[in-house]
Order: sequence, then C-alpha cells, then structure tokens
Amino acid sequence: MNDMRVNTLPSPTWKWLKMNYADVKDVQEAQACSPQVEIPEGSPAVVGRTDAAVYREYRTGVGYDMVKLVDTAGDLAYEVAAEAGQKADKPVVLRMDFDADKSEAIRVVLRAEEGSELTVIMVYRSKKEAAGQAAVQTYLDVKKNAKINLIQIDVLGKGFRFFNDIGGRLEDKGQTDMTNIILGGKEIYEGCSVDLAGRESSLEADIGYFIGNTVKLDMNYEAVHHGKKSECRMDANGVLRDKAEKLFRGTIDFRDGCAGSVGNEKEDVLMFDDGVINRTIPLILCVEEDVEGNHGATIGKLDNDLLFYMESRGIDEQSAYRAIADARLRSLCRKIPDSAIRCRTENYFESGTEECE
Amino acid sequence: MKEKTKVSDIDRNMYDFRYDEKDAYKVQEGLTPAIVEQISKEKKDPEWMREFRLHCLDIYNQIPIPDWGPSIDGLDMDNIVTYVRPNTKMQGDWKDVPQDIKDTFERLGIPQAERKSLAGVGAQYDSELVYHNVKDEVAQQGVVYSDIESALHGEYADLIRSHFMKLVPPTDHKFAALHGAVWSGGSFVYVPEGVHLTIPLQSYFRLNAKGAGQFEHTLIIVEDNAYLHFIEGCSAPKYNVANLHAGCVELYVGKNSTLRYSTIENWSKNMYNLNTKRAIVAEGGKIEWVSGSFGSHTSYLYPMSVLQGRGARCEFTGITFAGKGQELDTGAKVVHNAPDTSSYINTKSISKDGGVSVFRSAVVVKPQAKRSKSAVSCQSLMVDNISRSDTIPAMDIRTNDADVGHEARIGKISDEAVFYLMSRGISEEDARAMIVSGFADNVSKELPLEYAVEMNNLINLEMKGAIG
Repeated sequence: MNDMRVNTLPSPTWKWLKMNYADVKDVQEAQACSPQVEIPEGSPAVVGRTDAAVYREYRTGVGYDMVKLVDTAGDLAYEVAAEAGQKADKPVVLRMDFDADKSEAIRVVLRAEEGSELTVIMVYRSKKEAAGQAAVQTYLDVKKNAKINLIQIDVLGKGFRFFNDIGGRLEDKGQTDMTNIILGGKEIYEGCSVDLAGRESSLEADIGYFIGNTVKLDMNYEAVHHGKKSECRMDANGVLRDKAEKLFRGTIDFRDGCAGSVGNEKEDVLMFDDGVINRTIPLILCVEEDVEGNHGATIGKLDNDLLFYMESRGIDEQSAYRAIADARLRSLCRKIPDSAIRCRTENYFESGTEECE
Repeated sequence: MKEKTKVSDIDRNMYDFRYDEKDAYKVQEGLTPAIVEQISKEKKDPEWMREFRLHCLDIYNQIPIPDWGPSIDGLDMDNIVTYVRPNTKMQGDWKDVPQDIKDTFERLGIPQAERKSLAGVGAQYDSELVYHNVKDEVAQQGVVYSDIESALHGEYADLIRSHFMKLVPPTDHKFAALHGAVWSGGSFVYVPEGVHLTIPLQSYFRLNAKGAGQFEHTLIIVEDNAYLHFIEGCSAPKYNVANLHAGCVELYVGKNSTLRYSTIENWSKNMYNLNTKRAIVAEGGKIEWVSGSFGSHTSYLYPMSVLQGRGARCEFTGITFAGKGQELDTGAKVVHNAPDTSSYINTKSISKDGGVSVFRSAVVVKPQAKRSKSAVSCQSLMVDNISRSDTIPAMDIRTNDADVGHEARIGKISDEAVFYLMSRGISEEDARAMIVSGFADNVSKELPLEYAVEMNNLINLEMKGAIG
C-alpha cells in the first residue's frame, strides 16, 4: 500500500472545496488482528470465520481501497451470525485492542438470518497515548424481517490513524440500528454505505463525535434506497474543540423503484473553540417521484438564549459548553446495552481513562 | 404580433423565431490563436486586451473540462462560431436599428418595457450590442450605462482595465478562460456615490445565429450609499446544433449600497449555458440575486457573493425548472470574508418530463468572519418518476462564532392538495399547475410584475400536458 483515496462523495462537487474525497498518504500494509470475542451465556449468536467473498461486491462507505488495505492482512473475516428466528438481543462484544506502532486490520461480517435479531458492540481500543494504524471493515447482511443492532465505540490512543468502514444490505423489512461513538484517534476515516434493498427496510444511524487537539475526522455516510417504502434516519451530533477538523458527507440516495420511501438526515455541530474547522456536505439524490427527503443542519456555537439561561443560574460559559457536550454523549451512551462498556465510555470522555468502579 | 405582457399570449413559441444572418460578419468555427487575434482586431482592442485574450486562450487550453457537473460532451468548440457581428452599428434610437433585429426585440417586448418601466436598455444581438439607451434624467445623475466596448475606449478605459476579469479571473475555470479569450458585447454600468436609481436598467441578450456562442461581459460598479436594480434577460431560437453561452458578470457593490440583479434565463433547449456571475460587497453593502432558470439544454450557473466588508449581506432567491431534455445545475456560492456578514439562500427547483435539476451551493465562513450568519433553504419538487432532482450543498465553517443553518427537502406534489382542488371543480392538470405556481411564488414575487407574469406563464405552460 502507499496512498489511498477514501470516502468518495457519490456525486462530486467543486474541487476547490476539497470535499469530494480524502487522499491518505503513506498507508501501511496491515497485519491480522484478533478480537476478543465475548458471547453472553445462552446467546444463540454464532461466531465463526469466513472468507467473506460474497460480500466483496457490497459498496462500503470508505470505498474499494479499504478492501485492498484489509486484504493485505491476509486473514479470514470474523463472522457473528444469528440463525433464522433466533433473537440474540444480549450483545456480543468484539473488543479490538490495537497495538502501538503497528498497522493492523480486521474484517467482520455480521449476519442476521430471516426473522432473527443480533446485537453487537465493537470496541476499538489501544493504550491511551499510543500511535499506530488500525483498520476495521464490517459487512452487514440483514435478511428478511431481521435486525442488527450495532454499536461501535472508538476509544483509540491519541496517535492512531483509524479506518472504520461499513457496507450493508437489508432485505425486506430488514432493520439496522447503528450507533457510532467517536472519541479517540488522531486521523479518523469513517465510512458507511447501507443498501436499503428490501421493501420497508430501515436504517437508523446515530453518530456522535467528540474530538479536540488537532484531530482530523473524515466521514462518509450513505443510505441507498432501492426498496419500496424504505426508511432511513441519520443523525450526526458532534462537538469540536481546540484545533479539531471534521468533514461530514451524508447522502440519501433515492433510486429508481423506491416509491414511498422517506429519508431524514440531521446534523448538529457544536463548535467549542475558535480554531476548529467544520465542513459538511449533505446530499439528497433523487430519481423517484413518490419520496420524501429532508436534511437539516445547525452549525455554530451555543444558542445565546440557552447560554444566558445557564449563566443566569451560575453556570459559566465553559461549564455550559461542557454540560451540553456531556449531555450529547450521554444520550448516545444510553444506547449501549452493556452497563460496564457504557461506564467505561463515559469515563473515557470525562477523564481520558476507561477505569470504572 | 404576440406581446409579452399579455398573459394569454405567452408561450415558448414567442422565443422560437429566427431570421437569416443577413450580411453578418462571422469568424470561422473553432478556437485558435488566429481566431482570437481576429476578434481582437475586429473589436479594435487596446494592446493590453489583445494580450489578455491570448493569455486567456493559453489558460483555456490548460484547464480540463469539469468532471463534477452535467455532461457537456455535446459541446464541440470546433463547431462553435465565437464571434458573429450583425450588420449594424450600435444605435441609440430604435428607428435606426435594422428591421429584422428591431422585429426580434419588439416581439420580445423590449421597447415596450423600456417605455413603461425601465431607466435604460441595452439589447445585444449575437456578439454585439445593437441598441443602447439610457434616460436623460438618469444620465444627469451621473449614471453611466453603456456598452462595454465604448467604455473600454472612452473615459472609463482605466476603470475597465482595473476591474475587467479581476473578480472572475480567467484561471477560475475553463469557461471563464474561454470568456476572456473571445468575449464580446455586454454592458458597463457605473452608479455614482449616493445615487438611488428607483427604476431598473435592463440588458437583453438574443442569440440568433445557428451554432454560435455568446460571450458578453457585464461590469457593474455601484459606489457607496447607492442603489441599483439591474435586469438581465436572454433567449434564443432553437436549432438542432449546440449553441453556447459563456458570459461573465462582475459586480462591485460599494459601502452601504444595494445592488439587485435579476435574471430570467430562457435560452433555447439546444443551449449550453456556462455562465459565471460574481459580486464583491463592501462594508454594509448588499447584493440581492433573483434568478429564474427555465431554458438551456445544460446549465452551470452559480452566482457567487464575496462578502468582503463588515456587515455585508447577500440574498439569493432562485427557481429552476428542468423539463424534457434539460440538465440544469444551478445554485449559489457565498464567501463570508468579514465580521457580521450574513447570507440567505432560498431556492426552489422543479423537475418534470425527464428533466434533471441539481441544486449546488457552497457557504464558506472564513476565520475572520466573526458573528456571521448564514441560512440555506432548498426545496425540490419531483413532478414524475422519470425526472431527477439532486441537492448538493456544502458548508465550510472556520470560526466558532458563526451561526449556520441549512435545510433541504425533496418531495412530490401532495395528492391531498390535488384532491382538494379537484373537489372544487379544478381539473387535475390545472390543480397541479396551480400548486407548482404556488411553490414558485417566493421567486415570482421578487420580480418586477411583468417578469413575474412571464415566469408564471412559463411554468404554467410547462405544466400543461404533463398529465396523461
């Protein structure tokens, strides 16, 4: 590997904005990484290995260069599956501890067969001050009437370059509920492309990022509606501090035949400090008449009325910002169905350590 | 003869008539240094302009065709005639304009509009202005409204030289460079400090020649504490070969001044409209864009506002109607370059009968633009399922002391609203046309009355025949 082009916008715009894609220099070939897999007692979830060949044609958010990067690790994918009719509602946890000064990659397949439900938490960790390169590619295969709940938590070290990529396909009435919490790393590339292929399939995605220092976060989320009456909701909430820089690409793509579909996308960015850079490009692409697509974005500082209210109650501006950021994170953390991981995530945000009593 | 302001008489055919290019002077098709030199010679350019044209041609040859917008594969510069001079000099009196050209503009309603509601008119036919006039009382206030060539050779020569393609440099994009190489015609407006022009000026651009390009340059300087409303209209007859419009508009808005720039673009559906418009606004100044895009085969049109002075403002109100065979990529760009600046972009687009409408925007807030505000709203209406509508809005915010909001919506005509209107005796076709007209209302109410009437009738006309 050398350079990668990632997070390509489905429909490009002016080059001078530098939003059409991200070019990543000096990408290191990867070694295989073994996750620590925790399956709750009595869970019907099945964990195995697969070559993931059938998923290679899935479109992913980061893009094809990610496939090539993960291939350099030369390892089989880890597969977590719920067989037909099985409800694995207690979460399977994949804990990935990435070593410092290494480049590691892993591919994961999450498969929910017809009428099943699967909940998976993926935690990306390293030592607090560590630097390295990590790459995780996750395929979601959601069959008819099935559901995957996926929670991804990034608490990587301060020097990490991290690629996190998702590609998914949902059959009729298939559902995916996704929560992505981004707290760690130095240079982060997040991509997700979900094909709402089936009738009444639905995607819910909550993305939360809380970044500071000189962290760069580059995201590309896509919901591609093929199925009739398919629905998506993408909410991105974030807080930028210090000299952090973030780019969010969010696309709702209504394709031919997706009549009756609805797509909603919302972004709320709190720009904490004056050195931050926020870039946003939300797309709605539409070739179908009978659809409804909405996008809204609010970018800037805290609302003056809210700030006045808090200051009149003795909370200074910095504390007010901190309280709002904290509230945003906690609202996302409530979606983590494991109290220990939830506690560690909140603590990482508050103190930079995952220690919990 | 059809008249523009009579509602019942307006239809697309009023634009689709043509005259032979009698005795017109043309350069050869294509784009070479020799052709550029020839245009420069014909126009009696000063030396600096001749060199500038050739420099632009070099830049044109170096810049690739954009790979992010609608296809312009059907445009072959080897087949485009870049300069067509009608067989007349510019006149200051309608009676001196040749009959066929006079008939053209009379059918488009220009002389009537001048008499009724304009402070001055410029009429361009192919590559040159054929008529230009400004009312005495306006001229007496010191307002200059002339063709740009006269200004280039007259007392404003230095002003033209110091402003020409400084706001839109030829390096901006390929078709800005093309414009710099072969520009011809267009208007120069100068509004002195403190002058409030209460009635508008208008330029009308008519491209009559088959397979030709029109490259007019509009340069407007509004000094401090002044006001101007400038209206631009354009049309062409339809041919079965590509025509090209690559004009350039540069607007300088002084301190505490307001410039309203209204455009109704109704080029024929064989036209590639690759136009560039840009305004720079000084402290406390305001640029108001009102833009209706109805014609063209393919459009790239994104008026840009550079809010350069503290408290500068921009409002953009636009509507795009893409019908059969049209791919209209329109929108706006704003750069907040100073504190306390504000921008408001409000657009509507309608896609019908296989038409493609793309809303594209950029809002850039620089670190020094503290306390700036921006709001972008774009709504798109899909009238059938063989059309396409995309929204591609970008925001680049580099200070935390700014409020930026964006909302976009795509949807169809509400069945309930159609049902309601039909239950009151209105046909489905009329009900849909009524809903679309209402959807476009925010733009039409920003236009002078007769242009609003024209726009509503264009929409109404496009909608007729959409059912069944």
